[in-house]
Amino acid sequence: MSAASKETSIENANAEIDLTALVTLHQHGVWRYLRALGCDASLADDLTQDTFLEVMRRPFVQYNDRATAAYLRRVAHNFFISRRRRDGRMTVTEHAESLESNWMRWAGFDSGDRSIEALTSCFEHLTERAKLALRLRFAEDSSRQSIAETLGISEHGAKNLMQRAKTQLRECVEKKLQ
Amino acid sequence: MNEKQNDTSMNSEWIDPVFDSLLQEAVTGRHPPDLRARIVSAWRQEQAGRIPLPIAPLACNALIAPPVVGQQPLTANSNNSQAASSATSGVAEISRESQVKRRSHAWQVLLVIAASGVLIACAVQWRAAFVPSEYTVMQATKNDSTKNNVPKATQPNEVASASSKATRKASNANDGLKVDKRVAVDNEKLELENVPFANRNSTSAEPTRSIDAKPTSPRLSDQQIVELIDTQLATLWQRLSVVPAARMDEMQLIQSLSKTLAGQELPNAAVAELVELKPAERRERVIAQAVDSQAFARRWAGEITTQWLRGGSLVRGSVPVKRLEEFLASEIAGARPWNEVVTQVLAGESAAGDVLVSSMADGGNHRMAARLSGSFMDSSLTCVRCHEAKNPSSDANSQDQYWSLVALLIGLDAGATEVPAERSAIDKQAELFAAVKQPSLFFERPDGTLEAAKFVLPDGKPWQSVAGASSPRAALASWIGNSVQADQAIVNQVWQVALGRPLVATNSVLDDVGAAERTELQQLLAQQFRAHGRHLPQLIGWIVRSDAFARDAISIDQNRWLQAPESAIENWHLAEMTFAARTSLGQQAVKGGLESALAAATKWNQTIGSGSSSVQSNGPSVLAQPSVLAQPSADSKVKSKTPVKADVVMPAVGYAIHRGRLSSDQRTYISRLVASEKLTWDQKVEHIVSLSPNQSASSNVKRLSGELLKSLNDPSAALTELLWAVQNADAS
Repeated sequence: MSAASKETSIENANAEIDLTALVTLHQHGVWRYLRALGCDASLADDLTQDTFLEVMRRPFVQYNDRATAAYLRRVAHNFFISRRRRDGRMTVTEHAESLESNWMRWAGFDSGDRSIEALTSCFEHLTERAKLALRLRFAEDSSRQSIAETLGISEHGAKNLMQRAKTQLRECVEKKLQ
Repeated sequence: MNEKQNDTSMNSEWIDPVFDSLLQEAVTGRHPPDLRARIVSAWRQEQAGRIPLPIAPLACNALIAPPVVGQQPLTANSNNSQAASSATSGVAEISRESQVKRRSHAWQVLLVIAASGVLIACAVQWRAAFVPSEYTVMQATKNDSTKNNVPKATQPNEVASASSKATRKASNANDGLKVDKRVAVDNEKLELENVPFANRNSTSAEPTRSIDAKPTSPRLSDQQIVELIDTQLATLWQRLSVVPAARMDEMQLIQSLSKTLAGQELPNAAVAELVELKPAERRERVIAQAVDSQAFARRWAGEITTQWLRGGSLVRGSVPVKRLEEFLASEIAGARPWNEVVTQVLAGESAAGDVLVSSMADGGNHRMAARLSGSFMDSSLTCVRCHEAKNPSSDANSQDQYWSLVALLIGLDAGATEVPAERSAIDKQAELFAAVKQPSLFFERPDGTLEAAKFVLPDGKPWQSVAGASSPRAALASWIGNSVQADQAIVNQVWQVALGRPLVATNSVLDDVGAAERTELQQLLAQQFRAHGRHLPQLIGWIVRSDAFARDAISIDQNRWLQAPESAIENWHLAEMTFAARTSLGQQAVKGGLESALAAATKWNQTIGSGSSSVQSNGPSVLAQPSVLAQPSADSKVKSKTPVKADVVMPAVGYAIHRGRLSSDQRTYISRLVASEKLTWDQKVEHIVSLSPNQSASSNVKRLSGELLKSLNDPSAALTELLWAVQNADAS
């Protein structure tokens, strides 16, 4: 393909993009990425939508799925920062330098589907107390003090319990992903 | 969830928001919703023009319309989160409409709040418009400064979803309510600098940003790292709409791999053995064989030595340089961690280290500081020798820090040995610092005051804080060897050997196309380099496996360039600048150093005769006339160009393509120099030349620059040519 025809194809690229297919393939990845950035579920919904619309408005060529996913993440990240600025809130990007590496590690290849599957399976192998602690923490948003009281242990003990459980989960998931 | 992520006490040793969010999803079972219908519907509405663009700027103008009711939801799996989002989402009319019925009472309450917001917002805006108090002026200034601080990577956000804004009525109402609150929080400094690598050259006075101090990076597999490189560059190409060059064919690629890794092409017999393998296996076989060979260690020792000695007094092939190369080759072959190699070499704990120091120290401590920063600290410090960094995107190093670095080099010099043409390192630090009265060093501030340089490391700690360091030199060597900057420097150097140009320029004025993505990639690679024990062959392996390495050069001749539209020329330029095409058009070093590059630029401009205005790279130019005359083109526009003499020296096509395409930073830098009344022409030349740590403004360079100015009669054009020469000249 000549350079000129390639350029023409860029100009017309957006017209040829199947938005439904694009969203189907990448929406979970973008949504999860936004959640990892710190969005609540509703904001993740909004920014996912904004991300796809913004990408559709610009010249856009799909080199490959991974490149498109990375591009969408960047746009989503920008929207997130923009939203935080607009709201006058501190951004939760203190450790953002390693976020992309972490993303590639856990979700870089399939938007995180395999990791979720592995996590669900590994979670079942935790002790009941560890499961309860993590459920309280992540599903019910309980404070550490509250978790400690529920389990009848010290706050420090609750922290250690959750820390150990997460380490166990991480190792288990890593094995499954290999 | 944010609170959880910020609760570092819960997870003080391991912070991974990605894992945490996935864990939360697994525990709660709250999986991503299906947003297809919602997004597609929003897109269709926008395309149909139902949502006007652009949006009226005043919140009070966009708030009044009541929510639409009566439509059925189209989203297949809309959940509670969508319900919540409808109040703030932009174009989610469909899902919102479906929820209004259920929440009509809630809407009434919301409308009351929104109406209040409208009134407050309008009142505030009216006050801002008609009562410009000190308060509002201050607010505007703060908002402007905040906007200016936004890194380039966030620029797309400035075009925030217009359609979303159009229908984000309730949200806007809340915005209206938030006006005063927002002003209040503007006083807080938003952590935008912490956006990943968005501003490598921050103006912050903290030059030693240590990634090591942050949570340990996960150690990715080789395959993941290669994917990381590919996706990062593809994202950059995507953003700049660059059409990458085609990939090399398989045989060309394996020969390129062999040549890059071992410095030699594969013999036919070896190629014949590889033919039977699958392409991926073939490449891996070539890489594995090359990395295991002695030729690999020798090749990379030679290349790295060349980069370290750039601008120094020693030349490749001399006995001392061979000594350094042999030392590096043995260390590379022995897979020694790179930080240990760098520390040993800089500390002068070996004869090879003496060679390096004797080359770097030649010309005084300032030259040594410049070479040291360029080769090992991934930065250019020359500007801050005389003043604080003025360019918003220039390297962030203060005058104090520069002079501290020079102070730590006191006592180091290069002197002649008994053998003619050989110079050896002289290190008098031990005796200097053993004396009762320690040496001192003073420097002059721009306002004329004298200041004593502190003998501190780049992170501000005294050199004695480095355990086991017997001298400032040893302390500095240890600090540099284990620094993040040294890791980034070696990433840059390996990238340059493999792909022709450094991944990130040491000074952003030299090259800032796609700087955000490239800097991010450089730092990610440096992170992984550290995580993998600073194993040099592994770093080289990641880079040569990348998609960028497999991209071919853009093949164009002058006729093709002549007839190419501006968009194609711009693409060629961007493709080379972003590693979407192998460097070939003129970005590679012009042989003969800065003087040769300047002489060539002068000659080409004199050939053109009419100065730079005729070669602004905007379409066909007289630069290509001779080849056109030889092969007449059917293009009437081309024929109409003024003929030139047949014996003109034709410039490289790359010169014409890359020249004159300045970034806004570069334009600002040059215009500031031109406008300066304090600086003489020679000082302006020195400023441009000092952007590269490997060049110096010799008397010949100044003379040639003067000739260029005389020829062009335009200081701005002459400095632009000089900048091109500095960018493209080799360091011989």
